Amino acid sequence: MQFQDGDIKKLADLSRITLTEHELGLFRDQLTSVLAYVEQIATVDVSGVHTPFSAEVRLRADTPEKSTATNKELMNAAPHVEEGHISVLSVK
Amino acid sequence: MKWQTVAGARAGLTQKSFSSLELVDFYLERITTLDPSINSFLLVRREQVQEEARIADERIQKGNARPLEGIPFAIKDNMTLKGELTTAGSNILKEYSAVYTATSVQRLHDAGAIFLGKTNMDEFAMGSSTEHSAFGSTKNPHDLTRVPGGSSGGSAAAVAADLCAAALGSDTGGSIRQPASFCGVVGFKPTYGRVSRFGLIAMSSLLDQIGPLTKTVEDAAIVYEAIAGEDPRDATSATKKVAKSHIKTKTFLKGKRFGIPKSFLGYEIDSSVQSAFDQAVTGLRAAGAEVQEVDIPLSKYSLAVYYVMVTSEIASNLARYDSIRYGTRVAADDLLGQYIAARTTGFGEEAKRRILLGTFTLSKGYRDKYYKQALAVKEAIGAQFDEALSQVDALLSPTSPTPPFALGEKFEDPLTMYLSDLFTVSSNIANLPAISLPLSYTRVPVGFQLMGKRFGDADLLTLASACEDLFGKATPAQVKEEGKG
Repeated sequence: MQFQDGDIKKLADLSRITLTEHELGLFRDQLTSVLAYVEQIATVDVSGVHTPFSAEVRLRADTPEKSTATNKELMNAAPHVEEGHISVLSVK
Repeated sequence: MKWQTVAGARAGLTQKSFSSLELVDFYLERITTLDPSINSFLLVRREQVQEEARIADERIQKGNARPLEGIPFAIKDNMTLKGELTTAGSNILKEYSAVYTATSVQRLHDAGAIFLGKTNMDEFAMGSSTEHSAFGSTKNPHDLTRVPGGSSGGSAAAVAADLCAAALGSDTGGSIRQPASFCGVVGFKPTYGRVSRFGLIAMSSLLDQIGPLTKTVEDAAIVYEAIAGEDPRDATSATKKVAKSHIKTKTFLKGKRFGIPKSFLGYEIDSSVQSAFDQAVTGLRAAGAEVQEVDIPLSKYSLAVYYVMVTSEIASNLARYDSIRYGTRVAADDLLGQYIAARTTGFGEEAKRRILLGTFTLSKGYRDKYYKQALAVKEAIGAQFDEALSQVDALLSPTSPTPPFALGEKFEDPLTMYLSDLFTVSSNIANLPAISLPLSYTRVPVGFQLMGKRFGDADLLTLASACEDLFGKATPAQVKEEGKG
């Protein structure tokens, strides 16, 4: 598959990233070449292969436990806080 | 005081040959003198680590020393230490101060270890050279014109330059072992699930693993045993008991069986790496080990599977960085503009490249073709490795197909850079433990990789200690000071 400028622009929009003209051309060519390399996985016959996830995921008991961080510490990490709330710009 | 191993420092501190504060001051002095040329540390905790050393010395004096009491470690900057900056090598986290401590770091702390600081890395652990750090490249202490490998390049360089006793790194496709190979030290990636990832900034959740970079195999085992084991805060951590390894000499190798994957023989390998590897194999045979070729045909797909998995999981894991709850706010007109501005200025080129590709491989119509197929091929590769490992004690390969390359050499071509992970990614894809040992007889650092059975970490370390006895131990880099040629 050959990526076009429009494809890369769409992926950037979905990723919430703006690209410069230079990055657009660079990524179009580089992603095309990396994708050509990874296409080879399509040739492997995986019929009969089970368990897509290797990790065994388990749930812990639903009991309260001490948090690793306090409310204050978590709020202090936010760049903008007003009256005990994390502030954000409005949606336009 | 020079070139103290963890085991050696423990003995020295217990016998009161030196104090923890003296050891810390020795490292701080070396960091001041040498690290301006190497750039292995992003953060040095001068006052804090001296204070921690004084407290450790009191415990030692009172006879209350814990197993790693007063031993100075360095931590890769994608693991959290409460109250300290944790940047993961990225501008988007340049002001992020951790609000909790990673389990692996906490376990070292609980064993008495003290922390000199945080080490440089490729941004979010994406890279094989530490050139993709937002805070400048790290240089290889053996040759300052070359890369230290990556992404745990800061940790590997700090150990090789004797700026700490040992370090923690993380390995998603070779990020502990390849820099260990490039810097001439020991690097161990445990089995997936063996070490908790709580507090490790996620890159690829199905592949990331934490492990040690050390001067000896014995140290790798000491650090591994301190950090391994189930953690209720990481649901992917294994519940199996952690077995203990043993230090052996080369006589242990008699009758051991090793396999070299046939598909690895077809790759382009630098002649200096090939001859060092051949010499190691000859040495193993002379020590009474049996070395044979084994067939793992699907292993050739490991790197392709790896790049689909990591880019997909990066696109997903890095979606959280919006600079709202933490991070650096960038001026914008509205909320969407704020997200875009923070991510556009915060992420470096490699992060953007991988986010875009991962967004593509997870998008509607392509998810099954790429991500789901990659997971299925991953399972098939794992089954073939299990089959091969039922015939032999461990698999062998060079750690990297090349010796350390020059700074800037592979920076412009991502696919060439990705190919430096050829030999290391398979163990991440197959969830196997793997270790890189330095071949001390080479002119430039060359690493020798052993891959073991899943959850056979202790057996692999035992075997690696015997190989280390045969190959010779790591030696310190002779670093040229800045301005002194």
